[in-house]
Amino acid sequence: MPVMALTRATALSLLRNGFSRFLFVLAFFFMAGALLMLSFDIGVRYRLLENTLLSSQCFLLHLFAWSFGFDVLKKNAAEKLYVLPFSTTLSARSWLLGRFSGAAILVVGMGLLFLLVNTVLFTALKIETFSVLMLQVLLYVASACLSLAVIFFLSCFLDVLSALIYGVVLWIIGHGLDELLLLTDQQFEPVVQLLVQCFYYLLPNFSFFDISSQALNRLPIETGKLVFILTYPLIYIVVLLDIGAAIFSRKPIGQ
Amino acid sequence: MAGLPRKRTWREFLSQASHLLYAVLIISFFVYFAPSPLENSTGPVAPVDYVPHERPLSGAFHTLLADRYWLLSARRLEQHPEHGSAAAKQNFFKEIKHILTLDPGFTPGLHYGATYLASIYRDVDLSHALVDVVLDYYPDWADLIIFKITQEISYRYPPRPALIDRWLKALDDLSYPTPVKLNDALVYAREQQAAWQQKDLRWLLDNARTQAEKQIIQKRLHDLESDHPNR
Repeated sequence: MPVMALTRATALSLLRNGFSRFLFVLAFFFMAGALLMLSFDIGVRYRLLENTLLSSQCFLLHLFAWSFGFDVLKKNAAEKLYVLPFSTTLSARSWLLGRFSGAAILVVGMGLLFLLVNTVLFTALKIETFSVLMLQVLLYVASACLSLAVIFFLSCFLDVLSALIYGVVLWIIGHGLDELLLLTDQQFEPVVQLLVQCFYYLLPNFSFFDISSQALNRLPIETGKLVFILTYPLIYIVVLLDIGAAIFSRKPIGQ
Repeated sequence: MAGLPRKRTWREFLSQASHLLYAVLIISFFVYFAPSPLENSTGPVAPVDYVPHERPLSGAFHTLLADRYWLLSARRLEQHPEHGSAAAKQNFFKEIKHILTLDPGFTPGLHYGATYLASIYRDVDLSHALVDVVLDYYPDWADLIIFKITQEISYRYPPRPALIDRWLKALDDLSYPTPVKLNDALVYAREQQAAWQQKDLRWLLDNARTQAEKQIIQKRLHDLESDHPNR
């Protein structure tokens, strides 16, 4: 299977990168910082420890995704690997999927490591009902993978740095979409409302993945909403990579 | 024939049409199933001017920012423990409102802020406004509507029957068993208001964030107990 081989090669080359090792060290520093919160009485009383841990893991997972994405795309350009789909039997779709999943597997691996650390920590500290917190970490992994897919999609018609910058900007915009929808519903014209609704449904909507308020305060989450949130990134990633491959296969070589 | 557009075969046409069908199906999936914050927004809640500038730019870190505000607001009150003035009341309300906007599920903050506003600053309307901030995000949260009814009965004399009636209807719409009849609510307000206020103040005292707050609450409790020694 060429996709599997490509995935493996991408993941291994990323693991050998020095910057990846630096990110792993950074992750453990962040978690040590979160543990320092234990020394404050108020930190334990008002879930500051869980909050700091979740937020730092969210930040790190996205940082991982962006840096891995940038690294893979930079290597594509530097070693002219993008000629592979044109010079071999490998299709553009398999090429893009292999490169994407190589980076995504490392992000998922990091997410699983965070889940393991959290389980040990929360069990040791006797923090109750932390399964929702785990769900939030899983959603952060999904969000990071979607952000990575957006960067890969943009790289099919933009240069590497622009794809990264626009990808991060789309992540920031995607987080404010639910707020924007509520704001326009109350204060703006119907035309603007319609425009924002189009943005809400068509742009990658990262606000779906943010259930930290419910998770930290142990509030219930509707099952229908949960099923949607877990299905959404899968469909969106497949669609983005499919369209990206279609654009990529029509692109003249070397651009 | 080179250079002329080639006539498409039926197979190619169908393949392109199926792509279109996929696109329509996927977009309908998103539009139909995507959870929208506008659902149920025409419920019992009045629109609240709630979006502070931090929220859309905070990425996924609303809750962490809310915790920071919570710590800062407690520290600010420790350093400037003035109270009783209209400005201090508005400041306190705004701080808690921003915290709840950033983290609407922060129930300890909501209960503390709403009870503090009603007990110490004697402003039930602002207390209701705080609950409305959270209800805007979770319109189906029946406990909060019951909390508003309790606040109205405990702190306003006479309580406004029209408001209580509206909230009871909202609970009915949510298929929630009605906790109290309207007439009973008015009787409770007359007979048990002072006792409930004292109970709330004792709860506030147990949960006070700083020494300054503790002193203010103690003074208020002392005043109330001297007014109603039998309670």
